[in-house]
Amino acid sequence: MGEPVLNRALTGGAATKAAAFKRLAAEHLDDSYRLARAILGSRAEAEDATHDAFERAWQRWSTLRDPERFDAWFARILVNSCRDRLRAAARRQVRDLSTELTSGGTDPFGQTRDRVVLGRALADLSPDHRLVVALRFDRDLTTKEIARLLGIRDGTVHSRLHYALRHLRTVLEGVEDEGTAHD
Amino acid sequence: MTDRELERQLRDYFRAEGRDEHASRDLLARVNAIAETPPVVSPQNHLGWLLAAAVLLLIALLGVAFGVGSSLLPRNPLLEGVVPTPTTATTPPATSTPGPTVTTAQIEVGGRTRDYTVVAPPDVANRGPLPLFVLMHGPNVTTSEAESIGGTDELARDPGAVLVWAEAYQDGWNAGTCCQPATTDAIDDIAFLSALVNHLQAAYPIDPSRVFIGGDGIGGAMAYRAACELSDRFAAVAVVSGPLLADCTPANPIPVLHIHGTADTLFPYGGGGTACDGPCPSVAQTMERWRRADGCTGELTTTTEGIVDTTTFSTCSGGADVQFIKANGLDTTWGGPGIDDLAVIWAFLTNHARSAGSTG
Repeated sequence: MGEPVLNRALTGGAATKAAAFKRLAAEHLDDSYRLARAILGSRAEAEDATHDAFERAWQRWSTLRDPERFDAWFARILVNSCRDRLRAAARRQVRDLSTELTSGGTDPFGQTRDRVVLGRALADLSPDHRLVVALRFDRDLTTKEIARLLGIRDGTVHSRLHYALRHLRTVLEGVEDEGTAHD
Repeated sequence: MTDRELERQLRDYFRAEGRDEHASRDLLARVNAIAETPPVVSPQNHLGWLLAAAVLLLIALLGVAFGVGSSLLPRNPLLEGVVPTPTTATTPPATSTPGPTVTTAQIEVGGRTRDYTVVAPPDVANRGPLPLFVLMHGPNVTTSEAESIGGTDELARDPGAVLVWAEAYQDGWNAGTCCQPATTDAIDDIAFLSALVNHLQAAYPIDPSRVFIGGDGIGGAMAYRAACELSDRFAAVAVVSGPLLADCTPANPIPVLHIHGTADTLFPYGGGGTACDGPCPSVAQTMERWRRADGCTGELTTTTEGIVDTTTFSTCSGGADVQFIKANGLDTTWGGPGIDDLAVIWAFLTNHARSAGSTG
């Protein structure tokens, strides 16, 4: 983003702030949506979470004191917005991802099945574990970058990744064994 | 399945699941519409809050006039801190494990439901008065993760104590100048902690002279604020890594133990970082704030043992003991590796039971 735009967004009058906010939102929209999509898995949920994050950011605009820190400030708001949705979904029970995964695909049979299984296993993860997996393997962030983004320690990221991957491996290997038994 | 194979599958999965998608035009329109409404007034704008309070008071009066239950009315953050006796309601235990008894419950304070987890000796009913240790973990860490770190909950069984992990509001404590959204939503965490101690003292055999508070990171910053404002309730405070982020004028001088690694990544020893809704103060600044808060006028003495430098303040008001432990080369965290901080913390706290003549 251009720094003058950000400065105007923080210091200008109401109309100037709104115009600058819109420009900033447009600049960050795709990246923000993709991050939410990776974390939440669903297009509709990701769009709602992204919208909520921009809404929270606008409501807290006066608390952003340092323009240089907008990216980290907003990323944390977005991740928290996603986590709220994951927690709400966990309380409602996790939806079945298989419909979404198979509806539009032309994948060969084996790939689709693997993706369905992996999607279900990811949806079974706790919100905090799902977050670190998405940030690590979709966004390709390092554990240190994830720690900084989530405001947790590097060791906690390692711990969450360890338990999340252990769960995913257990599920995938269980399905492989089932497939072998039936073949 | 190898790690590499699993990681490849995950990357393939996310790539196929929309990594290259664009946000829809509908989302862009919805986001643009956000800026058509002015942002809500921040708590720093007192005039705005006064107007908001007046409107809410009017709504409350109308609610009373029309017989509407108070629970249906909008909450007024300004009133949360002045409710004299928070209503208290607990839910039945949600979880229990062998060894220490773990109970997750809620308490209503100022119109908000707050969560906490009590860890108590399995035979708590047969124990004599026990110390109470109020704990707050760092940001974005679950209580179960915090409990498992370093075996903190073992303190409940041996030597015997009631521990309570107080849960932050949306991962943020109102520790003074930090942290959102607790600060921006004007969450009264002091009222929460005070009500929690009241409730636990009624529910468990607690020795009122041994009520302690502590925490890690921002949880530690909250512990410091509570120690400052509730110095009549807490006999001593122990913090790992957390800075003091609030004005501090304790009614009673309070013993302080602070442990901080020089390689701390979230709360850098020399200050800075991003964890305090802005740069955090340095350990030296926190030390200076406590020196003034506890009225310490004497010389500092520092002793070194292995990787640890312990600096002790002298001649503090009421003989308060103030110690800062510098762990050289460590990224300290509550119960983390490198030093046996739990043993040090517990020894410090239990050596500072409030004397019979003290307030509280």
